[in-house]
Amino acid sequence: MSGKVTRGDVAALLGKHGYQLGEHRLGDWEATIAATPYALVACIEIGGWDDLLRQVADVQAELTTIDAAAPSPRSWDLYLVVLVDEAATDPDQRALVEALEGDTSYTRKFVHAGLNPEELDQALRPLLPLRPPAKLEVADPLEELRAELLAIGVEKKTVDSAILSFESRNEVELA
Amino acid sequence: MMSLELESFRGFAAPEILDFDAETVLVRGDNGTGKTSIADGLLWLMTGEIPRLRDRGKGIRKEKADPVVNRYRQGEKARVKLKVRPGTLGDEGGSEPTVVFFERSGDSKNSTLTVERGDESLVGPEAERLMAATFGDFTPQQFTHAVGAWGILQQHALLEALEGGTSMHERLAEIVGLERVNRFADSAAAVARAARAEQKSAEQARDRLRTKQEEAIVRLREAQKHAEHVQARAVPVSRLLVERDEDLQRGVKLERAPSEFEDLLSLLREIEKIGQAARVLAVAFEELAAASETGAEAIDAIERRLEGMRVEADRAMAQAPAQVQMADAALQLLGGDCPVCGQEIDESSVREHLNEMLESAREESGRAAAARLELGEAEVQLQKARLADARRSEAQERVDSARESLRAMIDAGGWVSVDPSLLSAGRAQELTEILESLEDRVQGAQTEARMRGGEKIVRYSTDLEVTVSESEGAEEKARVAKERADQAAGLDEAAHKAAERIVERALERLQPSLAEVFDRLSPHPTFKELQAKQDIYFRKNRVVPYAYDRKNEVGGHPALIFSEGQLNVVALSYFLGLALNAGEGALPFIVLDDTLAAMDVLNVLGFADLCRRLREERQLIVTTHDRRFAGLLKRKLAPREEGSRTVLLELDGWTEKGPQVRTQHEPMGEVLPLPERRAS
Repeated sequence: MSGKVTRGDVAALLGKHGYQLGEHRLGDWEATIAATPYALVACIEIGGWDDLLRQVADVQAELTTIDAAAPSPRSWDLYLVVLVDEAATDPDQRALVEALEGDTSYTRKFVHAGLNPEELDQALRPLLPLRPPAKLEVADPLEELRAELLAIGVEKKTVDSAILSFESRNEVELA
Repeated sequence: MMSLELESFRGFAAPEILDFDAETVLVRGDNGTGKTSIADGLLWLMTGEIPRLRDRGKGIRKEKADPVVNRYRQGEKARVKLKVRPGTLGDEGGSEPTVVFFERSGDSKNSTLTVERGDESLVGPEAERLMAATFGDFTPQQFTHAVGAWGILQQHALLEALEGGTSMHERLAEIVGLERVNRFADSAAAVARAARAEQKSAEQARDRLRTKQEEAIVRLREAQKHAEHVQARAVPVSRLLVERDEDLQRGVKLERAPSEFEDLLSLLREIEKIGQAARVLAVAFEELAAASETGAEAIDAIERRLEGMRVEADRAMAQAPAQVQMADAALQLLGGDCPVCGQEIDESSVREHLNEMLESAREESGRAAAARLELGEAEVQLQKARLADARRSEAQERVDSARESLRAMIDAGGWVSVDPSLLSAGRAQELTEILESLEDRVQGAQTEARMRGGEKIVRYSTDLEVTVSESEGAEEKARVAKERADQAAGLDEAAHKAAERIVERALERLQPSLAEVFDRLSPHPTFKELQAKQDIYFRKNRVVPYAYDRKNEVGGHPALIFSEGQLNVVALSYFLGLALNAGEGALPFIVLDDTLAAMDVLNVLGFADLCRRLREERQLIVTTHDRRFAGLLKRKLAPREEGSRTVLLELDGWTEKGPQVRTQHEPMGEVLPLPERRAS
């Protein structure tokens, strides 16, 4: 994949994980709204860093207004995903991101600047369900061991004899 | 888990029943109000010990009071009782689950577990087994390990997850199922040690015999020097073994003339060895000659002929029986009228024609059977040819190997040289005869030398002969022992390496689960990846955390990069990563005892979101002293769907009887759809 992440990418990923999707107008911004009983997420795209603080505050106000029209415990779970097209290059921009994300009043904000599609999954992880656990256990440890010993270069005769004796007597014996 | 009852245990003197009948149990209490006693109670009930208290008690002398029993109830037995409804979490059993009560009573040194299930009551080891089996497919030992490793995480143990690299490795090894591989590696190491000891002992024996041999040579030389007869020293070997000797002229030569008695001995040994190898070669040549030669071309020809025969036999077998059946059936139906059109026919003429057909078909059938028989014989012939070809290849391999080893022996010897033509098929037998003849003559020279040297020389030369023979045996033993020790050491090394590689791959598979937790808690703006790496130092395997900034390709141990609060997040990620990946060793609950300490609000918000996900899979019991975080978790974890339950236990007003416990069941919050507000 290449290019920058769009609202469409965010919507596709959240939709895949059970969010109900919709398009809303939040002030001056077209926003993707994704909802579950536990979260109301708004996603907007912003081109640059100028006046970002005010823009985010406006969008946040619009989102809380929408939510207030149907008040529920979910009001504690408003999220705003802000996609900034330009990557954060100077310390001021990074400080701005930190300030925005650190302010958790009204909404929890995720500001992603210059996000690549490969990074999207990690960026939205807090909003996604747990992935199925990896299978760590080895089906047949001795078989795996045999393959490893051969791959390392131990002679087949030695490996066979050692594994066979271990299987039958729990003791390694040499050929 | 439905409820937990504590009495005379740690901070709880009076009996107190705590409601655990929910997906999420939040326990909020200031420091010292009994939160940790709840986690300790679960730990003690499930494992029979509280390692933290045991370790702390080690350095404190003259302390008579038992740390598990409440300080105001010393002399009584501590009691913890857990009510469980199996099959409601983790195991989705079909039948109506029976409520089970587990109760442990006693003190830190001695305690007894009792189980009540319906009318059934078990005590001691049987009860321990039942408890382990109730929470998963565990033995009591495995259950104890699982509870400590990924069941209950207490605040004091948070950073141990990062520092205890060895135990992390052990935990991982347990999940991966490395136990057998490790036992194999240990056994291989034991074999290697034993083999090395055998090698050492064989080499010592060899060295002793070498010394003995040198001493025997010195003694013999001394005896020769002082012999009365001068001839004793002039061994007539040269005269016996050079120029005019026919055998030597036939392709076997002495590289130098033996002058001392021990030279004769050494020469004789060499001739014996070469003679033995020559006999092996001669036998191999005989076997090769006996193996009938069937080349690949001949086998191809037989295969081609067979293919043709198969096609022909198949055709004949397919046609002949059908023709016989058809003619036979037609004869049975034959009458004055045609069985098909009903017109009158000449029955005798048709019958004659059909009989001819039947006869011809039977002949064809006979030929088919004969062809099938012939085919079978040809197949046997082909198999024999292939077998003979394989035997011939094996015989050729034996010849090559015997010739190679004979050449090596001649080159290594130094006394005798052999014309290469004697190593050919036609002359190998001749070589054995020459060497036998030479051996006889050298033995004769040896006897003559002894006779001339007198009694002392006879005795010393016999001693030397015996010592040389023993020494050669010891050399061989030492060589074999070294080979074996090297082989064992190689296997030992490889077994450890293999175990490392298996763990390495498991760590790669574990990566997403560590990220699963770490990404949600986002403790650092640039070091956004948490990895687990294997660190091996003097064969001691450890798993260490590694924080990584992928964009800048910079990484390091989190302890050297992160703040204490961030480190707590890393430790929690480790613990939960393992809990989520425990596979068959997974427990149906996770207990987190005041693990939010030192986290910031963003971490806690991430943690709250994570808890929502976790409780879909495990019962969650979370304690915290922080009122703000407790409020946040309470709101975030309040149920929003039918069947979901959250309990908040508020601990306060602690007295010598224990804390006051207020239980709140969080009401379900209804979430309505958003009003329509379409984008323009």
